Amino acid sequence: MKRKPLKLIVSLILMMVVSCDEPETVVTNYIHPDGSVTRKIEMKSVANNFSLSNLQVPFDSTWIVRDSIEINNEGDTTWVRRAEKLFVNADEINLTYKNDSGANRAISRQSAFKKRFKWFNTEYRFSERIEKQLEHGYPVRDFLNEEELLYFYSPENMQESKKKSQDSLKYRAMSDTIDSKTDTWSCKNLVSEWIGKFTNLTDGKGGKDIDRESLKAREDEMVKVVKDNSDEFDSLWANGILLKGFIGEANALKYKTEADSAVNLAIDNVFINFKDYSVRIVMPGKLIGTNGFIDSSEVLLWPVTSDYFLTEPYEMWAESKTTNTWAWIVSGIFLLFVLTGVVLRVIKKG
Amino acid sequence: MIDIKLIEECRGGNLNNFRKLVGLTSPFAYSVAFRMLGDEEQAKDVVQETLVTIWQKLKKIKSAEGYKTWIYRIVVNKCYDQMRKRKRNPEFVADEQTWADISNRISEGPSADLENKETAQIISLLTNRLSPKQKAVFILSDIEEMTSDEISGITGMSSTAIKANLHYARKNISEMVERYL
Amino acid sequence: MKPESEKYNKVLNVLRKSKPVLSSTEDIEREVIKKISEVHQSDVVLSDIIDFLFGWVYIGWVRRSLIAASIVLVLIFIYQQGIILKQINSLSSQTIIIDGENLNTPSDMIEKRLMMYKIDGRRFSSKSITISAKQMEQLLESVNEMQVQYKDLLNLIEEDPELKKLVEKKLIENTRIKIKL
Repeated sequence: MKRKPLKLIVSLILMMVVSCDEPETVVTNYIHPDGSVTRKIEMKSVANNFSLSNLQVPFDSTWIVRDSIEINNEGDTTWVRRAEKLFVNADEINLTYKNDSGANRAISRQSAFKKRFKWFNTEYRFSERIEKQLEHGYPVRDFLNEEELLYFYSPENMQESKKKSQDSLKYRAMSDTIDSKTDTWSCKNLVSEWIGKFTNLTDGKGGKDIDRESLKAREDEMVKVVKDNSDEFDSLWANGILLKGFIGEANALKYKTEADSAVNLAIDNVFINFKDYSVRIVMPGKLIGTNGFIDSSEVLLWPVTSDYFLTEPYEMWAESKTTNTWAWIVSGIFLLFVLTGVVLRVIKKG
Repeated sequence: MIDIKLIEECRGGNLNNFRKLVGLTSPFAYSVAFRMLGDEEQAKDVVQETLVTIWQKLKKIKSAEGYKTWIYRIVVNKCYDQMRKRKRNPEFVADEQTWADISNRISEGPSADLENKETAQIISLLTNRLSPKQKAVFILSDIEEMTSDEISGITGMSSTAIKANLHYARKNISEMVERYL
Repeated sequence: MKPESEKYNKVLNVLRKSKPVLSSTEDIEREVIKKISEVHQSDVVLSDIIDFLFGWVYIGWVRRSLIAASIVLVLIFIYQQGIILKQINSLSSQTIIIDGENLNTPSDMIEKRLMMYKIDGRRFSSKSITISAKQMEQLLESVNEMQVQYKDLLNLIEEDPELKKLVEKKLIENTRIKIKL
């Protein structure tokens, strides 16, 4: 009983250590009315380590880069790199995503800009979309209720402030509930993805025992097994115990290769190597719609983390409008002209 | 007498008929204007301006009776404007000889057929100290012999105001008459 | 009111009888017609301009079309502005204002990475990394807390033999159930 916590602690330390190497990155997109975008990236790191493999968003020598150092009251040093570039349109941004060789190069990202002339107003829409990773995943909204979803998608500092607020008990309990539910969600995604990949690889050769329908029917059982045995998962899988339990001994022997490939693919997809960052958008004119958060400087904000696009595409969008003053003036003159004509006619008739 | 039919025809833009209307309107308009202003040329100008205004606003006339009141109203108002301009000029004071001449003409009685110039002189001298309104009320009432209602319609004053202005005018003129004539 | 004197009445009579004579109405007529024509000319020009600009009001289908177009324009305006107002109102109720600039890695990231490690720990290659002293302190603090709580839990179970038995029994049962499908 005493060995378990020690193993857990060591794993935790290793995990913390390994996850600390990417800089804290915020990408701000300043959208201009003509569709051009000034993109500014701010990266903060405890070490002067901004190597390409660590960077969450692509940038290169064509950007204007400025480095600086910040030292806080406690003597901690933070290296800051700021980069800026003007993109003629969203397609240019998409090209950089396509040619990305940074940490998140495997992820499919796309920007889009739309401008609609509506006579009295011109409406703008800018979005950044990340395509989903899993083919056979479940949306997280199947596991969380509305309030939990809102909390789930909130930036961390917002979650922290809620936990320290008057309703701290409620949010702490909610946070624990969400952790437990998303644990289940991850397991379910893993199993579902494995089933999908495995049945693709076996291509119906295994008969009804291991076709997608029968495996899907037993999905919940499998999820429970994986959750309950997460500590020993590696060894149980390597020894074939789990696989035998899932698909029977005969099938386990026959399709071990496919099962192993499927689990590797599933793990790759579920636990993608994604380095988190944040996206901000500044729209021209007056904001009229968004699915993001507004911060104290009235800039739109989205955290970007792998959970958000695991089973569904993650779209960060904002809409704004500017007034076409000349259209208002022309319309006013036209209306006045028609009104004057009508009034003159009425007077003359009278 | 001005026929409402003639006015209707003028409304249609008939300049020939308007010429007739001018011929009918000018004499009584001129009478008031001349007595108010005491100057032929100024009085003619006022009459012309009045008739041009009438042409432009013929649609407002509803009856022949209304037409006369309206004409007088325009004439009196235009005379006020002239008088206001004139006020900047110094007061005319007559000498003894002038008063003597006037006195002689007056003493001839109603048969004294005064010329325009003489009429103008007498009225100007007698009404020298009156305000334009007092003068207008005096001329319309005592010289043109109009009723209080007619004067009210022309000047826009209440009957009380007309009485007051008339009383003051008569008093003032009487004093002038007693003193100089 | 003081009765007017004989002299005063005499003067009035003379003035009443001496009506101002208008030398010729033709001059006035001519001048008036001339002025009317000039005004008429400018009126005609103005009228022409108005007809040019607003002649369409007399053409039925043009007038109706333009009125319809105006109404449509006003309706479009009201509709568009209404939608925008609705969007802005729903936006203010939907979006949440947060403070602070820094967005850290969500805390459950650690748990996800941990699970990943547990399931497929062999994927991690060893790397040389650097963490700040502050982060190390935080890590050690949480590890200490976890150790203390676990120790307390173990002591509770050790102190109660029956509880210890029950826990051990349950653990064995669970192990059997987990692997059994």
